[in-house]
Amino acid sequence: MLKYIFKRVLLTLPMIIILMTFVFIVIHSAPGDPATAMLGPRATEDRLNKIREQMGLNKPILQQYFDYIISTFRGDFGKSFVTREPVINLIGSYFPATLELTIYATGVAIIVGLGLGILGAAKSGGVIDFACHTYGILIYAVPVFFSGMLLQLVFGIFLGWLPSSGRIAGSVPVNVTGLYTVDCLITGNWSSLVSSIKYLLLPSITLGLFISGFFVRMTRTNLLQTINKDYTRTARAKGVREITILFKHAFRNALIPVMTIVGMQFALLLGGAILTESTFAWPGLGRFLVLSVNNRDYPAVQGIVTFFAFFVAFISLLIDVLNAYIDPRIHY
Amino acid sequence: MFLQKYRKAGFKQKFMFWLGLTLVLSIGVFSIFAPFITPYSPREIVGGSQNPPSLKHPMGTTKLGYDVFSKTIYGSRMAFTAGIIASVLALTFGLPLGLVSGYTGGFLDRLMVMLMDALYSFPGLLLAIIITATIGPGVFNAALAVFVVFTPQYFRVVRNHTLSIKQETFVEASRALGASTLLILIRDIFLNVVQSIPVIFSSNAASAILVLAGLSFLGLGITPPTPSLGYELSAAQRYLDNGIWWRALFPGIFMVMIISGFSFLGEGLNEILNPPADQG
Repeated sequence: MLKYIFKRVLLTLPMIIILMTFVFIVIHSAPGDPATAMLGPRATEDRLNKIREQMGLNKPILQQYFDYIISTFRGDFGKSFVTREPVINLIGSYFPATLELTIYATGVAIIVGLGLGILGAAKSGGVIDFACHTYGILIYAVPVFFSGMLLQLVFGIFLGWLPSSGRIAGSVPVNVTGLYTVDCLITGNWSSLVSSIKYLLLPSITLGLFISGFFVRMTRTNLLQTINKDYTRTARAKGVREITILFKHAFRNALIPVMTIVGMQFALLLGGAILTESTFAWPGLGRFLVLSVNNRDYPAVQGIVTFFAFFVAFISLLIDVLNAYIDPRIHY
Repeated sequence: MFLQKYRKAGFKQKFMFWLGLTLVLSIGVFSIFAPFITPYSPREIVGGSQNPPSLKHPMGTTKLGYDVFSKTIYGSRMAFTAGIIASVLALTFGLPLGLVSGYTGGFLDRLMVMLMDALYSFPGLLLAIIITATIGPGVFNAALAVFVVFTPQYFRVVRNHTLSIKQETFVEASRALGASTLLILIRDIFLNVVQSIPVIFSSNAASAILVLAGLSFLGLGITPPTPSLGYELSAAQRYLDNGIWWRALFPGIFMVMIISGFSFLGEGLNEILNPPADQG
């Protein structure tokens, strides 16, 4: 097992370096250079040179590249041009909000996806199956910012039941993990817990529904495959009730790939999170990225995207290792 | 070939295929005839401020008095054409790269796979954001970003397909008969791979339009004065609190129609061409 993990980590390294190289090339191919792009065309040569020196833009391009790679691996993600804070600190303050949103969204996607997937597979070939399949395709075609706005309109504005932007009202819980719901539970701050759940509902439903389409399809396909396996057929021949077969025999085995689905959908989830955060003014890393882009804060943009590259690589590594652990058929 | 398989397909497959085709074709017709369908120009003030839908303005008006219906039709036209152009570009690069990489194998193949897989693993929207953040927004730049994001998709599918066809006996036979690599690539492999293109093209066009819409919503894609559904929705959000629902609802519905049209078409085609084993 340790050997497998080691090998897998080694395979992740080139992926991260390719992504970092790509990010570096893109950022440095800005018309003019990042300094002129940040300060605008009317900046004086004096100020430009000062910024170039600060950002190391006056060094040879190859040296800049290696400086970027080496300092990143040391945990230095650069300094924001706007707030002058180290980007890693900013990531630390914005990332928990994104993490909390994506965790709850995945929960919504799993509940809806497994529910409809099981329903579709149980009534395979019928009208309900057809409806579930259509739902899976249709929900993917609804951009999160549109479904988010519809939910805001109905539940936030017309009915007035739920808040439609922000993360919490009233006192922010004591920072332990940065996930408000968890922090409230730990510190026993019940009023803030209720508030943070209210604020979480619409964004996590929006993002969760968006990726649920894929879950419905995968669950259905996997279930149908296991339903036709020998062991389910044997159970059926013995006279076991259909519902018991579905849950006890087929469902358990169909659960294994759910891990893989979560992994496969992770890129989509992160992309969706950026849009969801912008729609609900959710103070996460995705919204901060968009703000940094609008402020032309290139060091921050580069730092955040680099962080996302590490995060994506880490999740895919984690899922592979967990899969190897759960599924004995994977050799390592 | 397609007709034979089409006759054998079930109702569900046919329904999805026709639904998708109808949606895509009608958006296509709207796009071509946009100037004749829309009663007003999308760039002229033609009504009162924020009027709800009426006979004169079937989708209402914006704060400044623009006609939402005209803006929606022109925005759909933009999304449709930009999405297709970016997808065609990605296809013209991804397809040959995948063919050659999969067929020749070796070091070059491994390098390409590593490169493309790295790009593929990264969230497409994020990739598109950093590209447009550097080169600036605009139709052309946004399409360029989407092209970069989707090239790996075509590369992966084509390469994997090429690998499996490479093992077939007819390719071996061609080689034994002394056919050149180029001839094998074009006659034996390309003609086989090309059959799966309509399916991946439809579903990738759907995703491409989705990414493009996301970019425009964030203000990094298509920006005014060019009409765009994504930008319309971001503008609509500012007035949502006042209960101005028509500015968001109608452009959103058109966006869903375009994207789901391509998705249904791809799914229907896929199930007709490769019928799933669990249903007849």
